Amino acid sequence: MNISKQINTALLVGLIGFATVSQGAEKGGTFNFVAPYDGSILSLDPHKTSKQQDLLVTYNIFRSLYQWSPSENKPVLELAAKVDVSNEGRTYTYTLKEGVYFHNNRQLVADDIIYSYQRMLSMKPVSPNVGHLQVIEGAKAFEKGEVEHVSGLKKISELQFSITLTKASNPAYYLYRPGTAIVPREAVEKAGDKFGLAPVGSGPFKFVNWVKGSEVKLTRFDKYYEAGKPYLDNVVFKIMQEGVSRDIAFRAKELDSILIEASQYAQYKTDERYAKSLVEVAEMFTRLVSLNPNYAPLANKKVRQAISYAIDEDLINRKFLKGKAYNPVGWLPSASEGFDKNAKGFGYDLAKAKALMKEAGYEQGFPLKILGTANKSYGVSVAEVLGQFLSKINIKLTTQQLEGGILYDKLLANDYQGIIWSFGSGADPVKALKRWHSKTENTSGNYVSYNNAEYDQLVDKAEVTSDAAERVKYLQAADQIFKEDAAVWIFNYNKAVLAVQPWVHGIQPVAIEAMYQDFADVWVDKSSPRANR
Amino acid sequence: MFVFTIRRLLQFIPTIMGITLIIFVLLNMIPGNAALSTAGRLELSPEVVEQLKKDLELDKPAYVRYFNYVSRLAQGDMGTSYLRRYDVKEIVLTRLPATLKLALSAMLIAILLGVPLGFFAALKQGSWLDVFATVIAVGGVSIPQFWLGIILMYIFSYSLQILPTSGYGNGAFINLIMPALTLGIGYAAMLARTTRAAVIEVLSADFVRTAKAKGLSSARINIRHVLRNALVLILTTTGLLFGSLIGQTVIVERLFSWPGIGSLLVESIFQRDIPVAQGCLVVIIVIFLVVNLLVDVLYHFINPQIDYQ
Repeated sequence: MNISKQINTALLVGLIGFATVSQGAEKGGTFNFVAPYDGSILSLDPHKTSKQQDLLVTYNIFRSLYQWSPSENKPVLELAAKVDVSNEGRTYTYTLKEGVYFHNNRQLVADDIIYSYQRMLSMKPVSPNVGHLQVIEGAKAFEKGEVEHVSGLKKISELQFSITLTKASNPAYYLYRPGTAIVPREAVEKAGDKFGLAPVGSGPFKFVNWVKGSEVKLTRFDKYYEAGKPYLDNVVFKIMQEGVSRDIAFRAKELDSILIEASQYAQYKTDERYAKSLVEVAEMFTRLVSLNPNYAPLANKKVRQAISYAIDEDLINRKFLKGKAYNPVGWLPSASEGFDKNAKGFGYDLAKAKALMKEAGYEQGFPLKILGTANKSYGVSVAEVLGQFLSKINIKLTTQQLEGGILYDKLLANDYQGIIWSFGSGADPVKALKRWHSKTENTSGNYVSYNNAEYDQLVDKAEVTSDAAERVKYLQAADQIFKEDAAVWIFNYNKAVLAVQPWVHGIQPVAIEAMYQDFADVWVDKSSPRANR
Repeated sequence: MFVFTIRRLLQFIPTIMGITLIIFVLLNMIPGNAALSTAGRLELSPEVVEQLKKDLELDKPAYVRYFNYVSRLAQGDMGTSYLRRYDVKEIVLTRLPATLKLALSAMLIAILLGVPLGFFAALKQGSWLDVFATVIAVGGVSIPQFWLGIILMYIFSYSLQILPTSGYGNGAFINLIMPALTLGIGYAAMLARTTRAAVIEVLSADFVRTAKAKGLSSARINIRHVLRNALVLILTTTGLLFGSLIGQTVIVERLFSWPGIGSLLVESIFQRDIPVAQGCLVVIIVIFLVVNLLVDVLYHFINPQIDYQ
């Protein structure tokens, strides 16, 4: 299946789910969802955690200034009714919506926005989400304790405030993140360190209880600002790390929706009970093998290109990953604003690969060791498949499985030849490509020390232009340069798949993270075993 | 007895001190950056990472950190979690009841199944019962917990739909059944083998032969003399198994989403949340020491001839 057809299918499947939202929605019922990632939920204080496992819960307790829109595939205003831009794109003046309440029944006002951002910036230990606020003028000085207030945050009236940025930019891509959610000062101060154990937000659901290591229960917030929402009475997030447990629980109808793994995908695709209601989305994660330029053969662009031509990633994605992936054409994934649907990947061309190896002077090949984790979708098992392809251009591949923390240390220390992994590549395409900008430090994401002046120039232009079409043009051109340089071997964009029970409506294809479901839009019909009507 | 118990309790202090040092050294030797892990690998700027290290005291020498840790521990303070950012004692103790409930239930299953099976197998050596018990014991030890758990889940949750697949269910008994069975069956097999060996050894002892010569009934010999004397070894094994079981619940906890200390320990090591890992290990070690002390005390009640001096 070609890439545009794959994307169309994904969008169609997603939009079918999305189109059902609120059409004849029924009220009531309990929704049993999963928190499927490794580890327990650590904290429900959105400023203290960056783990998806935690944020997929806080996403429904709290609201941020902006919210990701699955239908528009970009962040949109959430807590504010309108925004005016001035000062050459540096100052954003917001007017908050009236009637937005916290769960303690106090109305959300401009002070709450300023307090929340200043809290993040002054937190000790530092908030893991603080990077999203660095774009605000005066944030760094405040963080260092040099000033008492963030100069870029100004209250104008009870419901009006402004944010001044360090440079012209779109703050939506920073302030939509669940980790920048707005919190009520009095509740935070009352709870102290334990705010994350009994959080108070302004989202559609209130916190009820949390059985540590097992589940979190939320209940409907009656004063939620979107009229008629939420539909559900309760949402329960069950911590289930094992795919097989989730599968059995889903089939036993204990769960209303689950995230499915590559090994389960084929079964669900052919199961007539669930195949039609699968929600598939091209997530903004790009899977790659980082190729260390400090290893002499990999410093040669022709060798890196030869690797790309020698491996049939389409075959790997179809057969080994059972089709639960999208073939890549560059760094930016198919859900990204900067994705070029006319672009093409390297494709499988063994003759060209051999010719490039000969031109590079590596006709006899070289040994290559790829490190990775045990992850089934982007770990050592995938790297092992590459061996048979690379052997045809005389590259002798070995692999080593390591624990994630150790692997990360090796990546930062440049102590590797190749590392197979997955990195976020959205939602802001400029930020996604800035990862490979020569000025981006190794620890900040440019793990292969990529350096191409032309690429830098295009990304810089994309960052400053206010013309959306022009920005996309720059981004696409930069992405193609990065692809051609083959600084990393890209093998797919993740396809996240949610299996959904037939009685569920409103589960949406969320490209930033499929598990970030906004349950304000979700409802269950009377055939649900937990309909309670 | 009282002096013995006090002496053993006092021995806990150097034991715990020594073990905390070993734990501290081992956990701090693991490669991986706690500050970056804490940040969630967000590709933060080097300044932010340095600030995190400072905030978490990771910039201080290891001996300073150990001294601070032990000083706090002596006052009952296990420190603050790098990731959760609140009291480690609270984090660990919240998980402890679930672990104890699971471990005690599994041990109960192991004792109720394993001891009678091993006892009767020993009394009927070479009979079909002995063969059956051996097959069960070998099978029980060999079956991987993960596989057994999935099979139980498939039968009782999916096919029969009489038990919940997973979760703690606010401590409901129904949620405990499958995790306890999965964990307990393997230990039942181990106890059956131990009991069989212990009973066979006692059966060949002189006092048993004397009892038979005195014309005592088989039931009286088996219960008052054989089982009672075999219990010393069975109890020792049970104590050791219980202690090890506390730290080996992780597979069952993950499979059944059971919120115990085992899974907390493993995930805190992977996440480099060293204070939480240290807290879990200290609690597991204290439980192990207490259980073994209880076993020693129980010896006296089983066989008053055991001299604690």
